[in-house]
Amino acid sequence: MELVRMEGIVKRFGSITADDHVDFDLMSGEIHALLGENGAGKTTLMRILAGEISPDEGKILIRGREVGMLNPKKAMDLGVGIVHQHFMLVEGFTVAENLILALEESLVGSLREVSSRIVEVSRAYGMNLNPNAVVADLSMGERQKVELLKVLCRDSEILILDEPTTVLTPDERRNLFSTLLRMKERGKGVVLITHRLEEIFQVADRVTVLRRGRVVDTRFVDEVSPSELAVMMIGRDLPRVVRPDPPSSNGVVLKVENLSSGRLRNVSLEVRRGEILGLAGISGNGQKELVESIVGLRKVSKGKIYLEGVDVTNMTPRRLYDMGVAYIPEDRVGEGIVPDMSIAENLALKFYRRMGSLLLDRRGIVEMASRLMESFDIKPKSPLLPAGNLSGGNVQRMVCARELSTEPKLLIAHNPTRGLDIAATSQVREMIVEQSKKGTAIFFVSEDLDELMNLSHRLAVMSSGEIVGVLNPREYDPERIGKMMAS
Amino acid sequence: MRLERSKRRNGVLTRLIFSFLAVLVASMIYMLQGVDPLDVFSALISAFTTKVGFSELLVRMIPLLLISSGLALCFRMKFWNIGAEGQYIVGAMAAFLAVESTRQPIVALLSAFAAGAVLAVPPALMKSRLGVNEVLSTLMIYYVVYWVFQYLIHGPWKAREKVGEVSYGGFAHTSIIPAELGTVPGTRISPVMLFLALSSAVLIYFVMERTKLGFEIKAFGGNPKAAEISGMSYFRTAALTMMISGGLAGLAGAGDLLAIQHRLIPEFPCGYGFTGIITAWLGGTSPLGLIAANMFFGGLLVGGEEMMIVYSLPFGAINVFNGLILMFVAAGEFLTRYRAR
Amino acid sequence: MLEFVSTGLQLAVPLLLASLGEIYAERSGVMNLGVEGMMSAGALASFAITLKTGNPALGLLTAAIVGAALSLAHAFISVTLRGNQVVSGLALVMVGCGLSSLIGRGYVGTPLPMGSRRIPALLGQDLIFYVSVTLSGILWLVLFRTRAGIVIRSVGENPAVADSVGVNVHAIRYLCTAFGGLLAGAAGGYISTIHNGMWVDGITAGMGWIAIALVIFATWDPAKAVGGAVLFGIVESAGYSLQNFGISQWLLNSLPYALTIVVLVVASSRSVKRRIGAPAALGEPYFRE
Repeated sequence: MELVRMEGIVKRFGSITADDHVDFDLMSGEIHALLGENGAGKTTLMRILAGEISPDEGKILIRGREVGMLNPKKAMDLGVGIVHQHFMLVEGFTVAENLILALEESLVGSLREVSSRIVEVSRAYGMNLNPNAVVADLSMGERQKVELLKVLCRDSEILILDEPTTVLTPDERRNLFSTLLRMKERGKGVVLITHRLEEIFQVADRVTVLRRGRVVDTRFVDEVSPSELAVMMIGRDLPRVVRPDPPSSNGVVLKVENLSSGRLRNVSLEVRRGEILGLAGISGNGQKELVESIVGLRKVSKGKIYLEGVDVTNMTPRRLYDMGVAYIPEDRVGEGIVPDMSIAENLALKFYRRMGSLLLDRRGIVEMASRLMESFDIKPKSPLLPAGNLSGGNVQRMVCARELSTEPKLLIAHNPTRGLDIAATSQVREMIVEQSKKGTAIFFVSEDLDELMNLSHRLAVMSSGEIVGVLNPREYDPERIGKMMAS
Repeated sequence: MRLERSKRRNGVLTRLIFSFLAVLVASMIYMLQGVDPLDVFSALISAFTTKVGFSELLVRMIPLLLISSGLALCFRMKFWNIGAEGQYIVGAMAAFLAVESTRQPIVALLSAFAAGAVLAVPPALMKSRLGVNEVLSTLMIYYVVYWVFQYLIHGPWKAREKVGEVSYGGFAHTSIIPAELGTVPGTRISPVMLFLALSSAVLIYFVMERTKLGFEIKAFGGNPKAAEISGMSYFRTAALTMMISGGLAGLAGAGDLLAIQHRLIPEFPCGYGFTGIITAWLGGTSPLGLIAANMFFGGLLVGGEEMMIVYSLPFGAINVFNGLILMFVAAGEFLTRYRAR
Repeated sequence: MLEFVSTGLQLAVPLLLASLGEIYAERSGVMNLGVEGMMSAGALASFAITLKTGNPALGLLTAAIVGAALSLAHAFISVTLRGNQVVSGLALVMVGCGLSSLIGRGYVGTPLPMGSRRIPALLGQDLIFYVSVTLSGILWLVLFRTRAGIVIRSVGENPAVADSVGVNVHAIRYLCTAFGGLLAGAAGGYISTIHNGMWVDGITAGMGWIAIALVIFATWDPAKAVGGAVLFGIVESAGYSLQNFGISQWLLNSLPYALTIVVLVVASSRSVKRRIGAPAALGEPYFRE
């Protein structure tokens, strides 16, 4: 039976057309993959189906009936359930509280009843969840199960999962896929949004490829090859990223010794001159704590951090910056910029101290900013514009310009390409590689394993606050790294 | 930059319109209480047009301008210093002690600035180390200072009055100070204090636009996390800002003691520290904005006090005006922030 | 000794009521610093109505309504207009205190007849004391054991999630803010009508601010607010007793405020350690992207 039919869907955001006359359909008892690069329009299309965004053109039929204007509530009532890439959970709540919030209509529901229903439904789909666990303490995989439960407890027939595997260990991924297969057996229709080819061949029945808001093709998975899909997705063959040559000189720049604090347990590592040390791990396993300890944002209780042999443990961010530590934070808007200040002022956010005396060297700041904007290709080229007006890619170029312009000895980059479009992603990667060639030691923390394997000279793997191994390029094997991440 | 400036002009206009609306609503409330709005209006006008009225307006503008200049700096950092009244009192107390022992007004002014600055630091420390809400800490410190002040002038500092040979404890106030700041003949305006007040408004503009401290204040006001990551110290910035703010409030207290009151009385703390919150919010860190807002409120206070006497209203009733203006302006922010999109 | 404790418990009642209300407002994400103003207006309203009708219950009810009405102004500015909650709250203090000072000028010095202050009492404490303690239990139960409580907390923790499951974020915030005003008004009424039996200008004397500090002390938990309120009540009543030992009344007046500073420091350093803090979205306006 045909569950969903979307015809000629168009959605524009300002001058950008996210979806351009897209057709899509979903049958009951199938897993239909939606494949495409970041920004291809996959998520927008599915949020339209879930009633969260209203389309500019096109019509939607659910079980053969046209549905008109949707809103989240109406979509839910029609059996559409969506699991967002960024979980919609209240972190301070227990699993049960989150589900009560999502499921019950009346204000006086009984908590005990819901708890037993949670256990019942999660058993039926092979998930084990403690209703009384607090979400903040759960792993990403478990949080995803809570999201799935929200949808399943509502008896939704149409399930949308947006990039569900990015935060999962290989084991958790297998579990998820077996859950998806069970749903399929029960006659539900599943839309799997992904940009990973291998997942499609593992679970999907059909695949629709989107590129720049347009449907390239819809095919049965049995009748298509991975390389064919890759070409459809990117428009050309998969690009081969060349790993930079290993560094010739090998003085140690950053040395972390037996660091323990908070989630971190006995972490030791070294980054040498001109070397890119990658750090792989599932988000929330201590990477953020480690990074913040190194850049001086978090007090360390045990262990030592050395910069070129000097003990810099618990130094202030300011001292560390003066000693040549640069930092590209994970949340670039929330932590990297002051949106109300101008681009020039944001570029000078660290450097202003060295210019002028007690007074601010305003002319010097603007001059420096114009120079940096030129060489780092930050647009629009008006240094006095508030930084909050910049697009994501330009914000990241601005942060990179600020951090790299001082020729740092050590660069800490935390998820520097997350959420960027293809062009900006490759630009940022290039900048990092270039910087390593100049001799800067780079500590590169990312959740994108492909990126890490392509760029790192060595790769450390983190799990539950521990470094569980450091690999050389010969040992790079996604399956093996995945197992280490989950250990 | 051009964009920002046009935004700001827009903001001043909406603030003016909403202040006017607030005055209308407040007048209606007063009218219901039997006050003739025409009386209010003419009292207000006379504060601006008659010589006595205008000089009294300036007398009130001086402490308000000093206080609100400092507060405007704090508010730019989103550090809500609500305790300027306490810093004002402690400044007057320090000036009293200093002038009693040295007879030098200049020493008194300096110690007042120091005392206000010192009193303003603990909230910055508590907030940066422990995350203590500064609205509560600054206000609670004010209350403690207020009662200690009352204790001192009702007790240890109380003047003994002499009738013939007998000395006895009379009304609660201190003795008259042995030195004072000169005033313009026929008025209560001290040229020194007027100069200091006007300079303070210019000073904080200079701090905001030309100094590294101003840059840091802007950064913490805009995104504290990014400022911290950039190596700025929250404690250092907040403490310096509060020291300027507290110091200026202390100076205001000293000025009122040295030029106007000449002794400390129970009614010495008369709410400039709270009115200053409104004028700081209205004026922002622009010198002209601050001077205009404080002149307006100086006039409001002069006119208001006249009304209080004519209709024998309690002093606190003026807060209806103050509060409504602040409330309307807070509501009006909606227009300036969201119309541009 | 017994009287000293009993006075302390009576002084705790308005603090408890006001902080319970503020807990609900803040749990929904709205920080209303206007408690002092709402209490002051409530105090006058209750006094005036009781004086006129001789019915303290009617007085307290009016006080609650006046408090709620004032809090709606704050809700409108901070929820609908997304204005600055600190500024709006301060304005509310000024308006509330100013209005009660203006309108209350005719009532200064008139005591309430003893008869109209009398309400049922048990074991030396009046009915309102027991009502407020029971109320804190009920409010705890609602907040942590019912879906209504989950909805309220979700709006204060993560309004986007609440919105995504169909909760009307603005409506919940209005309701909780109004509830806070209701209790703050009643708390003011209790001071003027039951406790003092007369109206003076500035009657609340900073109690509203102490109530806000208590919210932090109680870590936004209605049950824990009882302990905090009683602590402050006892300290204040100790102040009265110490006066008999020759300690200056003026100095003793500063005691509750000094204690508040200590309590803030202790509560904040404790919550830094245990990482229990304010509701995550406290003070932040919500609007859909």
